[in-house]
Amino acid sequence: VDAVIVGAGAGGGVVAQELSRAGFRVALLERGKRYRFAETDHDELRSQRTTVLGNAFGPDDERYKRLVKIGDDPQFRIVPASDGNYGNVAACVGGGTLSYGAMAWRFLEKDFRMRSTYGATEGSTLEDWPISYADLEPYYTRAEWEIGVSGKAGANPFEPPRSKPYPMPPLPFNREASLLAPAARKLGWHPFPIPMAINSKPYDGRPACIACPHCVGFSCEVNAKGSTAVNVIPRAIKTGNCDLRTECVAKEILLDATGDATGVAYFNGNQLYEQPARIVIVACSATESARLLLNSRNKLHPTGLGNQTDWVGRNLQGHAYAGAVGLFEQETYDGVGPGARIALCDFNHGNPGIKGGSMIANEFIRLPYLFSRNMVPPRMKRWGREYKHWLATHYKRTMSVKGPIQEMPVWENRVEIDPSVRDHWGIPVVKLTGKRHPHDIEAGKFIATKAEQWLKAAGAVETWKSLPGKGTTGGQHQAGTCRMSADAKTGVVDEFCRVHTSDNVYVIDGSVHVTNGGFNPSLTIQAIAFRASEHLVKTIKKG
Amino acid sequence: MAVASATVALPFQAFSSEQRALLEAVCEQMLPSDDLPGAKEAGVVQYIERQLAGTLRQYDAAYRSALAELRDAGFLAMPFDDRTRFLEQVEAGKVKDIPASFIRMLADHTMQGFFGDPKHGGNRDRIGWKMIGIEKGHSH
Repeated sequence: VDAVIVGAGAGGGVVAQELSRAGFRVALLERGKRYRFAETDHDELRSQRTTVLGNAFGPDDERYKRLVKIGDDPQFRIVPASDGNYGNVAACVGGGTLSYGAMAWRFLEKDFRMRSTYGATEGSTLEDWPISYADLEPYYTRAEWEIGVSGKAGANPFEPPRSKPYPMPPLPFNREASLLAPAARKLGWHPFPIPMAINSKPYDGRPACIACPHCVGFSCEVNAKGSTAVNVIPRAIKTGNCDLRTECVAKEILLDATGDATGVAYFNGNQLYEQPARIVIVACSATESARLLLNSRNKLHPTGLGNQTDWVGRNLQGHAYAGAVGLFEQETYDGVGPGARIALCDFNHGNPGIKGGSMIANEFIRLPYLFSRNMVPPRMKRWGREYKHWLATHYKRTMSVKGPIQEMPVWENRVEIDPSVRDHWGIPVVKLTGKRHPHDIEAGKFIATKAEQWLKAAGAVETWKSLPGKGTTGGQHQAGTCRMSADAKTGVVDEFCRVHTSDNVYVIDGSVHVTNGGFNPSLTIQAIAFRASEHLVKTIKKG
Repeated sequence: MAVASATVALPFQAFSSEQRALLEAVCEQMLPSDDLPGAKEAGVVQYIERQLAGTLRQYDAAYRSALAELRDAGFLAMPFDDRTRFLEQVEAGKVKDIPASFIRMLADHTMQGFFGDPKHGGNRDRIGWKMIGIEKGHSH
């Protein structure tokens, strides 16, 4: 084939479409399955929100594990894939986008210039991206139209210039948003409808959202959610040039004597195969992409492909969520999904004493079990008669607003491999270490204060903060482990996602993010994937 | 490098009638029945027993150990309010041989059995969903 892509998620799906549309033959390897809705259903205890009975969207606990050292814990522990400390995103066709909430954010201009904006930061590798918002803007637009995003252009006064409006109007406000909008305006803030990769009208052969109460954490039963499993990947397959191979687990990238890739070795079942290719694209998410590079070695890459200067696996980031919960006298719940409908960007930048910040949005419809564990006032005992009556009378009278804190990248927050611990196929597993930068916690406290203010202005009679933990980062918004850089000495890939030290290996997923914005990252991953794909098509055509 | 050993799961044995009575009693403390349904009506014990035999088998030993201590403490002979006080003492870490974490685990599993999809053995007749006012529930 011309290209083998490892990982059929947010990034890999886009690349598969772009290369196969350009006429190249593509093998798209995915370690997980291609799920039909009925297989995962609306089962809270086995969803992307609660994994107490396992990962609904992969990987499974029987074959996948990691070695983790959390915060100041002196010991490494082996954890299965559904353990919270594993830092999972997903393993299935569509990757995280099959079950995500589908917020479709553009990063802001300053998000690409964090070092220039805020200066050097002790204990952090904070840096500017080698590309700007303007470089990425045309590809954000392409992503919005190809993935299918509903939103209101110009509604967010902090949004940088855009070349085209959204392809669909926003989803309507629900009861929470109707309470929060005037409250924000009263505070002098600037609320607007959240841009979502959810159809507000029929689009691209898929129906409009049916406003069901199970959105984030589940796949969409009518395919109104713009997952790569229902848009770019089917289109890639339709060209006849893309061969999607599920349950194929990459072992290593095969390298020749010059250090370039010749293909990928992978397991299907327990059988080992080799897929030769002219180009290899790694799109497994920040932990697994780093793992694949570190597991791919030869004389020219003795410590792993692209790892000459020790940057592969470093600077793992995610999002330190911070916010608040409020209790209301009136019902705030209307059961209209997706639930998360209103946000503001007044606190992404320009906060006194804080570098960055986050957008703040209201939460998706609360799931009953998670509500009972995570949305109870801290003053209350979390079992017993009083607690039960509180649950019965307050489920419909609470509201949560929160934001994903832009994390400070930390050199020691890293993905390594450990040859002493191997998965089902004998492949060395991911070893995770590190803890959040103290600034993330400070920024979290600031955002939580604003969240409480917002809820109070909306009529909350009691509020309390929810603050991020200090432990290992990564998880569903994992990023940063193969930093994009102009200089090969201070990163892993160039501005088109090509590994600095290899002519034909690309990393196209959240791994390349220098910083991860104060937003859900999927649209940025996809914009980068469209930009890198355009470059790839030109490169392959040149030979 | 120090690596903590993974918990070894032994083959599951069904609870004895005494163990089940103790489990029902502690779950009843987590969500008592009154004018609103509690753990009993939702079948929380069925959820826990079924999961301990399967997905949640790593917690089986912790349950058996705690239930044995509760038996020795005469838990079943106590009136309701004394049971509550006893479990509060456990939660405060003041009862020898039952770790405080037992209460957190028990409460988590009780709420899973009360609010989870009925197909897992609890939330009988969607009683948990109805209690919080979502008649149609979170399933189809």
